[in-house]
Amino acid sequence: MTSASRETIMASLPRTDRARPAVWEPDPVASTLEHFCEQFRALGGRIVTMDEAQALSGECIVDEDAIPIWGEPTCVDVWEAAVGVTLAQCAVAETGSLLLSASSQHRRLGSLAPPRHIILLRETQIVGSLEAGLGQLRAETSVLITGPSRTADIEGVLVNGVHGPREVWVVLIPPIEPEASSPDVP
Amino acid sequence: MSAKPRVEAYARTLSESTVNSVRSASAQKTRSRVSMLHQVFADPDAARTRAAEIKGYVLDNLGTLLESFEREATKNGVQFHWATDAAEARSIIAEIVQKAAKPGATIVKAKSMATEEIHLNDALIRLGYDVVETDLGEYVVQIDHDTPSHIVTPIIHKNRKQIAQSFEREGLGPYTEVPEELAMQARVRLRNAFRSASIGISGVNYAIADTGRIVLVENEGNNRLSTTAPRVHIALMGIEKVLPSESDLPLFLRLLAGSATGQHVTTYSHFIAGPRLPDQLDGPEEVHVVMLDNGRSKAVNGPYRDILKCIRCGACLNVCPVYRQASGHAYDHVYSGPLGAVLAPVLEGVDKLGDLAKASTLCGACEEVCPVQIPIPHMLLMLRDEAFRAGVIKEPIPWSAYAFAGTNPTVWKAGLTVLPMASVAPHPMKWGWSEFRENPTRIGRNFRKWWGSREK
Amino acid sequence: MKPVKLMLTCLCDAFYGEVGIAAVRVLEHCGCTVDFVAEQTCCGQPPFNAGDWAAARSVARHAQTVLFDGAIPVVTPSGSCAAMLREGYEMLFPEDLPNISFELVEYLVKQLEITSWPHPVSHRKIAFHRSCHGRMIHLGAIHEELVATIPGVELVDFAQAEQCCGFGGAFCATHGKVSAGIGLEKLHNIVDAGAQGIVSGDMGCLMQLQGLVSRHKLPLKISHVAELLAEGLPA
Repeated sequence: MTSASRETIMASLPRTDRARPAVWEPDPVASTLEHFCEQFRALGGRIVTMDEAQALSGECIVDEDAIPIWGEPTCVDVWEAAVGVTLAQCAVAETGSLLLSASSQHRRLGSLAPPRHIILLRETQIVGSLEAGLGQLRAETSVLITGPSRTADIEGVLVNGVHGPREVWVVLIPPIEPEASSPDVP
Repeated sequence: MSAKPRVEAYARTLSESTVNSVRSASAQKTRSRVSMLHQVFADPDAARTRAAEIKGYVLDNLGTLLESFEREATKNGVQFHWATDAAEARSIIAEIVQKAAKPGATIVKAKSMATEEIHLNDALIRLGYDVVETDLGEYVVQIDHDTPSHIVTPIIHKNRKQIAQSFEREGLGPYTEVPEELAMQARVRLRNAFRSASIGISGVNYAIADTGRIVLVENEGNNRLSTTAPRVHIALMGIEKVLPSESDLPLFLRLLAGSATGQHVTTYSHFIAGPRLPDQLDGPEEVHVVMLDNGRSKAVNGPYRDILKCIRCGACLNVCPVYRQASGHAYDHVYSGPLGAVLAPVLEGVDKLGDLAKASTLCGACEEVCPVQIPIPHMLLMLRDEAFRAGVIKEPIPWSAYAFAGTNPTVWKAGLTVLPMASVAPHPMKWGWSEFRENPTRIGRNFRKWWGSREK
Repeated sequence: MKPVKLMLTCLCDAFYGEVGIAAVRVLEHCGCTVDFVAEQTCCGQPPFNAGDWAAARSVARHAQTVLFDGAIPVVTPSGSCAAMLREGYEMLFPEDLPNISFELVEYLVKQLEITSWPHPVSHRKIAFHRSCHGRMIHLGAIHEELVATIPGVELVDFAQAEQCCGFGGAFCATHGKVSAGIGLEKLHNIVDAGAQGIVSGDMGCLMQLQGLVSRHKLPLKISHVAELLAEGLPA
């Protein structure tokens, strides 16, 4: 029945050959670290040093490509971890957002299930507009994260951490050296 | 007149505290919408115009764009299903569910108006599944056996006391009215559901024709959890939800978040390509997209086509003076407010819900805030015409008699001598007027007499 | 001299003759010769908004026949009637050419290019209520801007000024509770802002607000913008 329904629906849908409207051109936005930090902090995000982040107690689960920078995970069950550590693909200054993709190196739940999410970000990966950020989307399932999990369902009062992480921290890490064969270790 | 129109009748049953909850939350969201859109766009109206043009293009090319979306998403491993109406959509989803898990299994649901539209939960519960709404607001709606009163903030009609009582009744934890503590009680309860669920069901905010991706936006994280943790993900989407290209997303992400909740973008924008790839560490093994027509293919070829541009931001509900007084339940449909007053009769039939078009002052605020510039007042007028001709709406006064006077100046002028003594004359405004207000009385001189005396 | 035809509106015809008189005085003061066609009745908006477009078409045709000659503009002291003459007639008669019609202040500001009104009134704090139909014909803030130039007028800002008064034509009768709730919220916002009076360009809105002010005995005087403009004119 399903394919018959498909034909029924499709047969009645409009088709034209007119040109599509132009894609929206974003207003100019600075791709600076300052701008990113300002937007990210306004959402309730924190920017911390590697030492501060590492000083945390608690079980952490770490994405494969973050291990050389952060160190080994201390937890194997993403649902039990207190902290999820990931490496950002890029950051968007306009919105204070971070882009992550699912891959053999990245699990999807690492940025979602633990109550604290720590994102390692290379300063050189900051772009200006949302357009520039989403321009870096890979073919894989991805997520753009803009601040901590939040709800305002109860009388419009803002509450963080209802299902996703209550805290989102960014640790700025040095850029990759052009000749470096191994990633930086703090 | 005997029976009152449904929105008025419902509004009369509301407590003052409910009206206050709806009114103050709506007004707050209206204010934050304005300030955010001006912060995000140098020219918000130019952004709205472009978004409306893109949505117009989508509707003109729905066939082509859906084919492209289906082709690309299929390459990514997504399985497609097509439903002409709500019943077919329910049975398709039931079949996927029954294949994936035995009755008794947990199904986690992300907030989705499309699933509300087809009344999916009841159907799955009848089959023996444990269906759990995971959006905080929708969870409260579910445990209270209520329905959402707003398309974005489903429990806008409830205050924290009522929520606290519900949570205590359900054994979520010690009684508390602190929103943070209530949210944490829900987090703990729902986390177990995410971990044990075999199936996650969501809606779709945008389907991208050129990449085959589906895009979901949310703030809580329940949507991501529902579509990531279970083995099977089912996404139900109205066929109008497609966008031509991923490059269109930034504009719509900004407009939707700004219009809905006064955010720059929502906390999570989830770009789902398809099921987990062999080398990936997590994610669902199966992703199904169920395409829902349910009146849309008819609407796209009719006079109310523009209502299909709607991106479900709820800004028209928030700004609507009638919605603020009556709340969403007054509309007897999952789509309420100005959007619902058009979309509900368009989807369900003017014969069933055409009277909703009368639940408006035609003030035009809805069109003014609409991120895709849907001419809602214009469509409400067209619906009134259609509903009147179909005999669906009953009028307090016979307009044919009014037209007789209005085309016969002598009769008109004779009527005018009677009308100001409205307390004794049959007065068009009397029904429903004098219950709440003093009758109008003639103030000062009569214009026609004054003009006549001047001409002499 | 600038000839104009006055469309009085059904509400001013029945209840608020002074508003029509004030409109004539204002127009004449600005150098217009005003004609009042006695055969006029109504623009047809009540049945149009109600959904009875057959009734609306016959009343609208009558208005077109007696008022519009293709040359002399029709001026009306009502944003909603002006919107009907333009937007409404376009829906009723899509094949017709647009007619030449203006809301009163729109005519003063946009046609006669009057941007200030130096005729003083006694000092008062006024809340200006923008009629929603002005939104439809894109009148913007022209009323407030002109009213603000009247010596003696102190315009006050009030919360949610953009919200409707709740009138909505027959809506105020069919949805009485909702309509009154909307109107009362507006009135409370206006009282809270310390206004002594409400001025608007639409007698529909003002009739609704007056009915509520009287019922709830609120300390607010209701007037039409034409009356405020005429008040300081030499007799």
